[in-house]
Amino acid sequence: MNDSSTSELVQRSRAVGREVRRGDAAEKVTGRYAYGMDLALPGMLHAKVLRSPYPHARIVSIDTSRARALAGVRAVVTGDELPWLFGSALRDEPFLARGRVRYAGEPVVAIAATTEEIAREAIDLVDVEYEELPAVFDPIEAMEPGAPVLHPDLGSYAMEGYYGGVDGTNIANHAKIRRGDVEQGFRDSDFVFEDVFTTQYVQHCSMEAHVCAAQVAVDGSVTVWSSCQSPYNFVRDLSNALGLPYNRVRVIATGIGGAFGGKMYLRTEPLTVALAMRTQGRPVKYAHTRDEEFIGAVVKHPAHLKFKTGVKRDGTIVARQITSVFNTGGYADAGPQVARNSAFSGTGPYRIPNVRIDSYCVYTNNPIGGAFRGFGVPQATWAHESQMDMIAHRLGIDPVEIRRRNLMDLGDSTSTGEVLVTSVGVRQTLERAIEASSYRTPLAPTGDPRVVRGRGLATMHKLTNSPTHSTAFVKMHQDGTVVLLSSSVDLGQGIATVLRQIVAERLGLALEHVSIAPPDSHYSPYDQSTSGSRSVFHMGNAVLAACADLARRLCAHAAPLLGVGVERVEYRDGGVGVVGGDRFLTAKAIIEKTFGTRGCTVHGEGRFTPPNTVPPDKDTGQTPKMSAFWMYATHVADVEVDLDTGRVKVLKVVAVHDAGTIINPEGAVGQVEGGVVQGLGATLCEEMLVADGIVTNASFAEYKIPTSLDVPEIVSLFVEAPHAEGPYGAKGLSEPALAPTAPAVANAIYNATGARVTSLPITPEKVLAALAATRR
Amino acid sequence: MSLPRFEYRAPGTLADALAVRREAGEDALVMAGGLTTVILMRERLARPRLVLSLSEIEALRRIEANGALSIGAMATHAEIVRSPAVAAVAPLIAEACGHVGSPAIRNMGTLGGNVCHADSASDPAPALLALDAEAVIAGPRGERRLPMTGFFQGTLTTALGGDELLAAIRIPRPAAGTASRFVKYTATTAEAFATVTVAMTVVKDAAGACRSARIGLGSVASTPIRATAAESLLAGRRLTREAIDEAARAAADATSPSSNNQGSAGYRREMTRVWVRRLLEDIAAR
Amino acid sequence: MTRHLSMSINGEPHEFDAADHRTLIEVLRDDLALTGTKDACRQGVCGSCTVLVDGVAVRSCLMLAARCQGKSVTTVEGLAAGDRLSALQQAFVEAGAVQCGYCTSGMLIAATALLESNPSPTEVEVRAALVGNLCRCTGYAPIVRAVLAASRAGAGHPVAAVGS
Ligand SMILES: Cc1cc2nc3c(=O)[nH]c(=O)nc-3n(C[C@H](O)[C@H](O)[C@H](O)COP(=O)(O)OP(=O)(O)OC[C@H]3O[C@@H](n4cnc5c(N)ncnc54)[C@H](O)[C@@H]3O)c2cc1C
Ligand code: FES
Ligand code: FES
Repeated sequence: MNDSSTSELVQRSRAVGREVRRGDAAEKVTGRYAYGMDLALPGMLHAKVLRSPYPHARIVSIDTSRARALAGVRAVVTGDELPWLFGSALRDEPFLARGRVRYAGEPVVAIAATTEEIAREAIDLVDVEYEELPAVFDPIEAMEPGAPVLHPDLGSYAMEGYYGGVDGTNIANHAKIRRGDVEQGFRDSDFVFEDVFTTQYVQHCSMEAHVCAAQVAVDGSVTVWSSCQSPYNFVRDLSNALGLPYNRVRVIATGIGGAFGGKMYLRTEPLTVALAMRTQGRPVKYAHTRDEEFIGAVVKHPAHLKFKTGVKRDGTIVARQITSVFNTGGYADAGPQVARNSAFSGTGPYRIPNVRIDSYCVYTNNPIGGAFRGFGVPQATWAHESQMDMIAHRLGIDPVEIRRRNLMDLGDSTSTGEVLVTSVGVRQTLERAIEASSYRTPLAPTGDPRVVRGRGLATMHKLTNSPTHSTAFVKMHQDGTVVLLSSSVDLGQGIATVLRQIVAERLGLALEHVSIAPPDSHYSPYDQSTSGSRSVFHMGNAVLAACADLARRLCAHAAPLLGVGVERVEYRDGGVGVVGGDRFLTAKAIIEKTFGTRGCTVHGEGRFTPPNTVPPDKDTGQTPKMSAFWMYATHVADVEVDLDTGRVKVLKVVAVHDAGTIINPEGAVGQVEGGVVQGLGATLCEEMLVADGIVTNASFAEYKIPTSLDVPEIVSLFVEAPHAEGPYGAKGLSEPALAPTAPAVANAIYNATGARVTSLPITPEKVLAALAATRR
Repeated sequence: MSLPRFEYRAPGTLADALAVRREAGEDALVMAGGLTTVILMRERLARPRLVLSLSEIEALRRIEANGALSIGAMATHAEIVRSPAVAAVAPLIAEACGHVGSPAIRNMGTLGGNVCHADSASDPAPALLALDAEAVIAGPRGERRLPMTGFFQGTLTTALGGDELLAAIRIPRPAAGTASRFVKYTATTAEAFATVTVAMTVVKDAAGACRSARIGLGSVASTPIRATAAESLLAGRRLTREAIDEAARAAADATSPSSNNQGSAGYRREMTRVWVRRLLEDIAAR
Repeated sequence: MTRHLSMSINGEPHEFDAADHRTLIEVLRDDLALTGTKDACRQGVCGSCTVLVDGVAVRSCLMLAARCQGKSVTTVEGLAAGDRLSALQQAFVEAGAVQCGYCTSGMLIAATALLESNPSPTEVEVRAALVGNLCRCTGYAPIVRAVLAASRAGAGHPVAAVGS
């Protein structure tokens, strides 16, 4: 598997694999970097939104007359005036509630005024009369016959190909995997274990809340500035909703203060566009407050995961059946994709011949579940890695051995029927993690009998959404420097720097001679989205193709100048030379000699679509190639448990990832360290509490994310199994970084105490309850 | 999000402040560090016509120890943490103030504002209860003193009259041989309101028995409270395992917690027991 | 009521009118276009709005502008000397302490205040000083490394720590 040509390439490289500082860091440390929140446009108005206090209600009447009369108010809009529906997999969501609200926090009235203060005052002057409707909060109850149906029109909604809601029910999507014969598999097993695992509501808590601005031209063309992850998702979803041609919807991605999946799809934009349609060209800005982030953005889906696994006495897994239910709240948003994607990781990185998975995305009268770093995979990983340890202990097998016995290798196939032919580094992540954590050396005791220590591990795999496309333009100025146009958004993960490194490497330029333009759907070409850990692989390849195209054009210009045929020249070292000869022209010389010294630019364009990937069959989930690549990771956690309080302190996490070749080591470590800490938050202390549809801790004072004093030592290592199709062998990284953390910690707690917690977060109270259960 | 409009007044003397307070009555909101007051206004839970800031009254910042320790109402948590006078007389209160929020919160928040807000989750309040502190209250008829035990009256309510201001907190010099302990226990992160805060002072006699004890608890009732039954159980007893367990149980029984993200009512009660026990064990061990 | 305020901001004297109910962050961001100061909660919890007032780290989201009359305010824009980064800023760049960067301004101010009062902090002291500054991207480790590196680089008194 070690592709020597790739590592040689890296060794020879100027930019790839080198420590490179992110290009925007100096702007950021001086406070000059412009984020969406900093956006100020001439004549800009400010929006505020009235949200429903009820989780499920009929809107009887809305009286906005007093608000309209307030001086400074420029536009007031309600759902009645807005006939459109938006959504990604499923178009189910109105711009503002129409006739009925489906979750507490749903936008009902939007107001734009000359100042935020006036807009807010105007909101207080709106009177809405509601009639409460029977609500359903538990997704399992919501699946039962007789439950209130949130979307009676489900069957009529526009849907993307491989998704399907069940008309007349609350099931927004039902994803299936069918492989082998599970029933026979259970009969062939020595033991069959059934366990239930649950996960909680987690909010992304991007430090910058959602923010956007919109402006509408006389001809109805819409421009949207948004602190978003995916300008092209926004163009598509807005155009589809409004029935506008794509060229009349322009989306500009602003600087963005974190996203983590939460800014992938339209959220603040539709109602802002609706307001901007009523302000005669004045732009309207709408920024969420922090509490709106909790109640009115999107959250990580709580999941209920029932795992039934059949094993041989020696730990070999024979069959697995999973029924999982994802609570997607009032509207689907990314729910169908999340629930489906979770299914694809249900087996974990293990060979399991017989698999049956049913993964449901279910409407309830709760906040909206959306995309969250990992797209359903952290939920699946929590279940399969917790159960893996439980099975090991029930069988009396070592947790490492049971994994070794079942891990996938090259040539094995996934539950979706894909035979893995390149870059399967999962076994290496396990072995490296065991070695780096000194797994076999017991932890020193604390000296206090009430505080005990333990160690646990978890491993995982994740695909990336496929097939998806990325395109890129490189534009070379007459002095030979380059500007890259790409719609990958730098959310903080550092993609802009990585792409510049790839250009510099491919074209043999110094990094400072490669700039990157901000994503703007009017200029930068198509990219599916900045998500799914896909950017380095997809956009990296598109950029390589664009560079090759640029090189080809330069060669064509250079050949006559060098007096040889084009087949005798090659691009090298920032210019074009004769193959096997010394004669060489710099790019600058080629452009100036061809076009004159007043100047011209030469460009290259590139597209990448992962070869041979095929969407899975809707009824069986089978496909010859599911994913452009698979990512793998193993984490080992050392913990300390206070037996009196149940408080868990994580001492250390060793995180080993196979992300293929690492292009920017500093950035890669940053992704893992940050991901592990985000994972620890979801493991131990984060939970958005929702009581009968109402969020009860919608603030940073009450929803606690880890602080600088809450984080352990993190050792992050890479095994770098190069991918044959990856740019320089790279795959992806960001999402896996938080998935194995939770089960590794739970397994460590078990190791320390014999107590097993199966629901996230692992609060001290749950630990005490689990400890009490071990004594019964 | 902006605040509702108001007029800002920052008189330079306590007398002037009292005059403004009397004249404006209900229309005025007293502002100390401004942390809670600004949040309340931003959430529109307060819409005063006038904000009466005490920030320009130098006398209210003073920390002095002549005999008893006097901490001006406007002394910030950070100033209390750094004060040599506090360290000399009642380091317990410095320790408690050191656990409030985070550095910038300690730089802005004042002890007076903290106790006048009367949040059950106050960290300094249990320490003040354990230290037998008094509130020094200024009003139109002069000054009065009130034990902190009587100061906290109910959820976010104090014994302060509408025309009064808290001027200082007075802490008597603890008797020789007093051991004091403090813990702020959070179930989530290092920057969070407490699941339970326990502060205690125990006066031991020459033989090591407990002569008297005072235990203050935070976050486990509608106000900061004293665990008086537990204190009585300890008075005159050796700090044996049984005595400690009994006192810890009595302290837990004194609580009436509610449930939130820092723990359920049952968990808070149990953590009260655990931490009162642990602190007493620690005192017994020395 | 509106009042006339004068204060030094990043070492320069400023005079302006502000209504009594305006907070320092609103004046900085909306009136003076000093948008380097961020806000992410407006409740004192996240620390992104941290600035120095007379050298002391405070939350500009909870500070009335009127209270800063006659005082000296330092924001992230005041940390560099022109385009020359302070040692702390440089350390942030080099340690990979910046990802999305939304927490960075507040982190830098909190760390500047720390190094002013404690030029050679331990790791635990650094972590305690930053406990009121939330970061969702980095996991804090590179930020802590940056502050320690700056303290070793003798950044106890960065160029423009307290304005002029
Ligand atoms: C993010 C954050 C975290 C926090 N964490 C903690 C914590 O962990 N532990 C903890 O104990 N506290 C915590 N607090 C509270 C903090 O300690 C402050 O004590 C509290 O916010 C009030 O103090 P202040 O000086 O800002 O008072 P203000 O907000 O100005 O005033 C508070 C109340 O007291 C009244 N008042 C103030 N002074 C007087 C006076 N002299 N006479 C009469 N009435 C007066 C005011 O009218 C107001 O009702 C936190 C606060 C914040 C914002
Ligand atoms: S915005 Fe001021 S602390 Fe969060
Ligand atoms: S770098 Fe994004 S919040 Fe800290």
